[in-house]
Amino acid sequence: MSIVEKLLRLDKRYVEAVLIIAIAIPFYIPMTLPLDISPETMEGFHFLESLPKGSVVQITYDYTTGAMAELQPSANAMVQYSMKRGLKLIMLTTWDSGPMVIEMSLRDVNAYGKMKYGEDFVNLGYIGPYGTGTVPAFAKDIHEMIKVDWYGNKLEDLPMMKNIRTAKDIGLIFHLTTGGGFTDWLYFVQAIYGTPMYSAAVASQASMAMPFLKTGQLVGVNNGLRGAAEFELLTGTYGFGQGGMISQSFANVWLVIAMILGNVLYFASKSRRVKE
Amino acid sequence: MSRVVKIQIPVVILGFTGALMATNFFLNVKIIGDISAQLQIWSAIVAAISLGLATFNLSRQHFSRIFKGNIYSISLIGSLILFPLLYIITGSTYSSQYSWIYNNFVGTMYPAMYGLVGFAMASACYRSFRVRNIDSFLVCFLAVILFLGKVPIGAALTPAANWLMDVLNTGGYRGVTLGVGIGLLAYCLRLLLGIERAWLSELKER
Repeated sequence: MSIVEKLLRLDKRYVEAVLIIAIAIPFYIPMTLPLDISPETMEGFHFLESLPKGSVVQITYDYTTGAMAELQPSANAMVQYSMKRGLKLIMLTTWDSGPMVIEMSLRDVNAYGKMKYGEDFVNLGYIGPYGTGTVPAFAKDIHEMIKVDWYGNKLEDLPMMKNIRTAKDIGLIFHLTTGGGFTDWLYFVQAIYGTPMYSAAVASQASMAMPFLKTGQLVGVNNGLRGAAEFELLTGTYGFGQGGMISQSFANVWLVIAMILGNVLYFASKSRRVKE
Repeated sequence: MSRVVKIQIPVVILGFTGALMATNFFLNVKIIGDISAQLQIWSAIVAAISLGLATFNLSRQHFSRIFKGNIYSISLIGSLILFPLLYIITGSTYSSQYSWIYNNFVGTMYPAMYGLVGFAMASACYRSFRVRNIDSFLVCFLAVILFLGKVPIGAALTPAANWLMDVLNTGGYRGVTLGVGIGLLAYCLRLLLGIERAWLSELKER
């Protein structure tokens, strides 16, 4: 068997091992890469900057731990930015495993140490499944729909929630998603109450959000991990986004090399067979 | 069961609630708004009950599988028992024990599962993405532009990658969205008018 044939039949684990190395290098060798800010992230940031101090931002964690690598940096950057700007936060989810993701995010940025619960932020947890009447009912009357927060405190007893009754009282919905729940908030809240909405979606789903940015229904889009890295840069926060982007750069370069190498070997083997 | 109970009453309920919700969307009438808000809360409660029902059904299925010797079903039944049990013992879903199990089991399994896709993709790039004809050339060519254009290292290709996403991808997605929207509208009208009856149990039984 020729060397070309041998390389073509190379065990896939070698290709995967190189991918692991490509992803791991930036974790051990600190480096930076220049990052241009996409227009969709920039638009969102400009809107955030226009929010007055004390505005209410709802962070919706509609994802599971599977999407944390792409979405958690955006969520953490948003919480940190809100702390810095004095924005008030409502955290909630329409995904059953979302509450644990919220807890992780709050711990990542030490929210309990830096903000006062009930006055600066509130965690409503799981409000019910998306794709049902949950989101429209929540938007219409928050206090009618939810009586207690995730920790069992009565909503009426939380000072911050006293003046937040409907979706109209929310200054921005920052929606983190892997797909599910996005249209609920867009169609039943943004479209009806006019509440501005900013989407942070995994890269495979960002294409779903992009058309709504161009129609003005979204104020910004964070496109996957890249969007998160850009958001961190703009908001002056530092998390996994920028580091993760370097790993992704190396991994993508290896994927392209593997694709080119595979094709070169394929054509070399083909021409050899023709000659024979 | 009579035809009235199995077909006509459900169709009337659906038509009435559908018309009420549609009216609430277009008109600002207080009484209709209040009723529709209540109905939306009901729907959230029904959805929560259906989750419970689905859990019960799933448990029943997997219990029978365990008795047939399928040991993998034990993990599902075990988790279904473990989490409610922890809730009962600790009294909350945010206790340290509950969080520890979630973070160290569920929290790591999901990323591991999605992470494996990356390895499958690397393997596919080397062994399967072959330029055999013009179609496969286009797939590989566009993949290279997007792979490099969407990361800082390939900044020179970013405008091309953005053009692909903003023009071709967004245009395609808009077409799909409009098509789905119009189809959904037609389907909802058929439901409200009682023309679409495939969801009725009697018709399914036939």
